[in-house]
Amino acid sequence: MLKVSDIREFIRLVDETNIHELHIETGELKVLIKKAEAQHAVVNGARAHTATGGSPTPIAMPEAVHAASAKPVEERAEPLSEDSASAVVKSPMVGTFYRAPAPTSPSYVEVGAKVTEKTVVCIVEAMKLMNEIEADVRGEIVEVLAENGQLVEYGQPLFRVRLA
Amino acid sequence: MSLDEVRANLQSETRDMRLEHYEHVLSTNDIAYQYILQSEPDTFLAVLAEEQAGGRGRRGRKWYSPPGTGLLMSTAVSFVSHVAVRFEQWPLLAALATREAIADFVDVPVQIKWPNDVMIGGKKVCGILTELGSYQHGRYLIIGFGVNVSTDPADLPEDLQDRATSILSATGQFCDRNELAAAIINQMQRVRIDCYDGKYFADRYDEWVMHCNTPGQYVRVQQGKDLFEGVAERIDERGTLHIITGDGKRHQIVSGEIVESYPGPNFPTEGAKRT
Repeated sequence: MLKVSDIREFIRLVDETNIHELHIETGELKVLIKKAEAQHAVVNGARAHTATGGSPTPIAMPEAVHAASAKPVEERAEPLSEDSASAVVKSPMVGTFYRAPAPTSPSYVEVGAKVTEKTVVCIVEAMKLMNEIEADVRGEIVEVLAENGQLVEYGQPLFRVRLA
Repeated sequence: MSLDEVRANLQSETRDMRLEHYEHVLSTNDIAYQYILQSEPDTFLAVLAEEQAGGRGRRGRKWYSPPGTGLLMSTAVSFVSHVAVRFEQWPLLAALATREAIADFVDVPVQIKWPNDVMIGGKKVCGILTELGSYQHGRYLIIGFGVNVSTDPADLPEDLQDRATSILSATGQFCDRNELAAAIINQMQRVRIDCYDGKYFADRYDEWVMHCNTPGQYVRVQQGKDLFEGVAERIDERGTLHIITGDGKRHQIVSGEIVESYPGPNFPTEGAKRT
């Protein structure tokens, strides 16, 4: 029997590779994990960063997994906002969200800050790994969607960015 | 320290790696970052220093090390392809690497406190700070090690004296810093090669758990803004710490740290040793 943690691990595997979809069948349980299209400009903060030039390609998050459903998942991941001119920076991992490098330091970004693809906007910490998250898009921070020191989930929205 | 001595003790596959040594730095992690920015893809390098003015621990805390008594070293690893690299497992593996390295020099048990402190006799001898970022060739990890080698615990700030020690003070055994640096680099090279071979924390889980002193302890854990207090039950194959709080609930801790621990079913009321 698959556990939720197993499914989370499968999502990570799909997200970290070039595989677009993964079917798993075990007993009566069928799971389909499928990458969403990039058209929604939903950005995963830790992924779309290896391009060495040109504009970055926003990478979409995997779709939600319906672990209890025997039917393949049809829905696409929805963008957080209907405003197509904005993007959401999401957490690439479960961890603690920190807006500054240290408690006494100023935040990496505030609302109104102009960011480029390479601007570090926060840290997400897991197992004492300080993961610097980049905006991956060019624009202006219009909303901070998580609280400093909060535990954030994989894929949880952290910032909304109005695209330049 | 002598880079020639360090290099002489490296395995053949890393003998030509970039090694840099400084007398005084703000932070070896910051220097390693500068080198990795200029480096070719798939680099492995190390920066050593005698003294750090701004040595950093977790969340901006200072790391104290009187000059010449500690091993202050940052290793940096870059990845062209980070497909399936489980970065969050590297701090755990770095702790195992350091444990293995130190254990070869001493005759007493060297243990790991979840997630990545290295302990002798219940006191910390090594802290590790791991930072993950991106640069033009991909992603990089900088793993900073602060090992108290011959530090006199009396030279540490008072509030650390009952929680930290040095290899010399805890064991009476002298450990050559050049050899120890090489031993840690050699162990980190193994972690790096394992990573390329698709091996993860789970592949070294048994070894890691065997040397971890956390399960069974009564712990206070800070995860973000949340504080949990209870018995550390186990660490699972992802490196997650499971604790059971007084109300019988199990909590899975993936972030943060153990701020206090005690080898018993509850904290003592006063006067007893805590780690």
